[in-house]
Amino acid sequence: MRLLLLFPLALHAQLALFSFDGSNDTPAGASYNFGAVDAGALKDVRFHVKNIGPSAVNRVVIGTPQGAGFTLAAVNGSLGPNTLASQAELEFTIRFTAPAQSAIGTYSASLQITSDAAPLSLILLASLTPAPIITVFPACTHASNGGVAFPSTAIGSTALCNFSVQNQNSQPITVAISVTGDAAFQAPASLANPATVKPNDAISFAIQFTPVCGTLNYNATLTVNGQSFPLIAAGLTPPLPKPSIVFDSTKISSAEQHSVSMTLPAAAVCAVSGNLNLAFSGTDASILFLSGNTRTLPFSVAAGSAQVTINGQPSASFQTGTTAGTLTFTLSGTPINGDATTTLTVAPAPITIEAASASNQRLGELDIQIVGFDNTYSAGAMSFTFFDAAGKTIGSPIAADFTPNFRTFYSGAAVGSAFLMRVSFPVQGDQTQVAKVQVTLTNSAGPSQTGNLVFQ
Amino acid sequence: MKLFFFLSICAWAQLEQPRIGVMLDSSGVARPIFGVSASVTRGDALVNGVTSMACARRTCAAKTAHAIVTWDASRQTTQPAPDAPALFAFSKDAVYIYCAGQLTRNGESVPLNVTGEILAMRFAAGAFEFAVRRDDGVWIVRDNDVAIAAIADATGPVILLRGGLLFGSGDETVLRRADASEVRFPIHADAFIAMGEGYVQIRSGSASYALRIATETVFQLPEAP
Repeated sequence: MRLLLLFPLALHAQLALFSFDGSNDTPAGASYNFGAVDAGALKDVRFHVKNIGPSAVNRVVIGTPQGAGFTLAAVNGSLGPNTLASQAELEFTIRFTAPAQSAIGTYSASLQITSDAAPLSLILLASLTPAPIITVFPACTHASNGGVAFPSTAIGSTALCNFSVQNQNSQPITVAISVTGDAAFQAPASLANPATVKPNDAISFAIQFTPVCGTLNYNATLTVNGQSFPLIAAGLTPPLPKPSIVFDSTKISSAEQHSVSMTLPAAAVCAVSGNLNLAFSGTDASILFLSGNTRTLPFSVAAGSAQVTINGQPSASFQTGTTAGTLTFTLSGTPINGDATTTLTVAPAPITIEAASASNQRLGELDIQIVGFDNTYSAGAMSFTFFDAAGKTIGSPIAADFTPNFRTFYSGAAVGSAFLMRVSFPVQGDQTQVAKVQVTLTNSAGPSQTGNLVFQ
Repeated sequence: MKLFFFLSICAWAQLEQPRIGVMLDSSGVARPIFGVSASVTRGDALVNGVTSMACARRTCAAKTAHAIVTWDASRQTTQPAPDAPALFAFSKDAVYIYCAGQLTRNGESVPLNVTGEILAMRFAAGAFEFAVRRDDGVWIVRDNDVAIAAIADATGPVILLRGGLLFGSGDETVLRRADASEVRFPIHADAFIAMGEGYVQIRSGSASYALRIATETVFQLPEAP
């Protein structure tokens, strides 16, 4: 008998029930009031059932609320029997939604939690209040998720979405409005909250959407008296104002190095990065940006700045190569308000001679060496004029056509037209009497001369 | 008077890609540089992990962490060396290496008596000349500290050329000819590297330039990404 009397008392102290607001537990007591819930709205309340005794409690089951409007929405464990160790807890959520065709008034239900300890009971209460009518005005539209879609808005500007909350009932209602989520959505600070709306009256307010750099899609929630409406919007990154691609010189020739920079007509709204690309109409691997040995360099602009850096520098150097054609500079990797493509043309030119020398050090041979380039790839025709020590021409100029040699050399050439040419003339007699030579090289753009090369 | 005449119909031409020399890129890779002034391309890596390098007309020598690598068109040789920077000089038939306080000729030790920090050396007219930094400035000396000249305003690297020298002076690079005439380039030099016949590489931060000695012109070299 003693055992039978003591046992229920010990069980009764094992489980305790708390409401939970996400941070704190509050003892639930004998009843819990959900407060006012608008018709058509729902309200969830989280509860903790906690084992405060020294030993485990078995077969803990959260019962189904007995009463209209209340449901067991979730159990953070099993719907079936659960075991709660000492000091362990089980979370569950009770939802109140007004039943269909329900009347305004107070609703109640009983909730029972059973286990091998004494059962816990809780009375659930909620007051169903008239729901306000919420209207959204253009240019905002109804989103597919049942929420409100703001018009897509350029970063740097603001969109407004106008709402009204009407009370079509015969009694005043209290309206609480909140906006949570991305900070790009802002409710007006002047809005009285909560506000009282008289019968057949309405209040209006506007939610402001201001997108920021770095985020494209935004989400928030408008809550009016417990009714939630997703808010969605997209921020549009404005295209970069069309940069001007500027060169240290607009007149360029082969075998030159120049610098390129970029200027903006207006500051960039957001930080932007992209690529500056260099393309060539022909084949010449020596046409490249020198920093990085590449034809593509990154560029960037800071938010609010009109200064463009290329590969981290104010400008970039590039080579014009040794092939006639068109160098094209383009931008990629970011939207641009216009086409910034800029071209430079390298015109065909006579052969450029970088270095030339003549040698008579090999017996029976006169050797001539020329380093240069032919940006037309048509070299071959040459003329050699020899002079004696007195400066008199020796015989007539000797014509030679090395076109086949150059064609073979240039076939498949990918690195430009630079060449090192060695020409040898077999000679009989005293070769030291030949003092100088002048070489004329001709391509499709005209002739070039070496000047007098002294044999040494 | 001796007779001579040409066999013009037998004249023949040989064509190849011109080569400016060898550069040491910012990642420590020795690479051949092809082309003409201001229009060059980089060739494939010749030696990796290079800390010091110099090239003459036909021969190059490079110092890696623990070896000296020398090469020409026909062969490459490697020999162990202390972990220290190296300077190089070339004669017709030998490569001279100054490393960790020792001067060697083709691997054989050469006696040397020079006071100060040796910045550069050259082999000219049968004798060595050194650029040395001392408390009282930078000097060009021969063995046993025989002074040849002072480089009054040299504050940076020095390289001794045939018929002149190149040195860093503040944010300028100065080419001084044997007749004392000078050309100044607005480039802050961190290091000079003999690229081969007639060209010197100037390292300046992450950029590299080539100075063509004959024309006293400078152009930028393509650097590694």
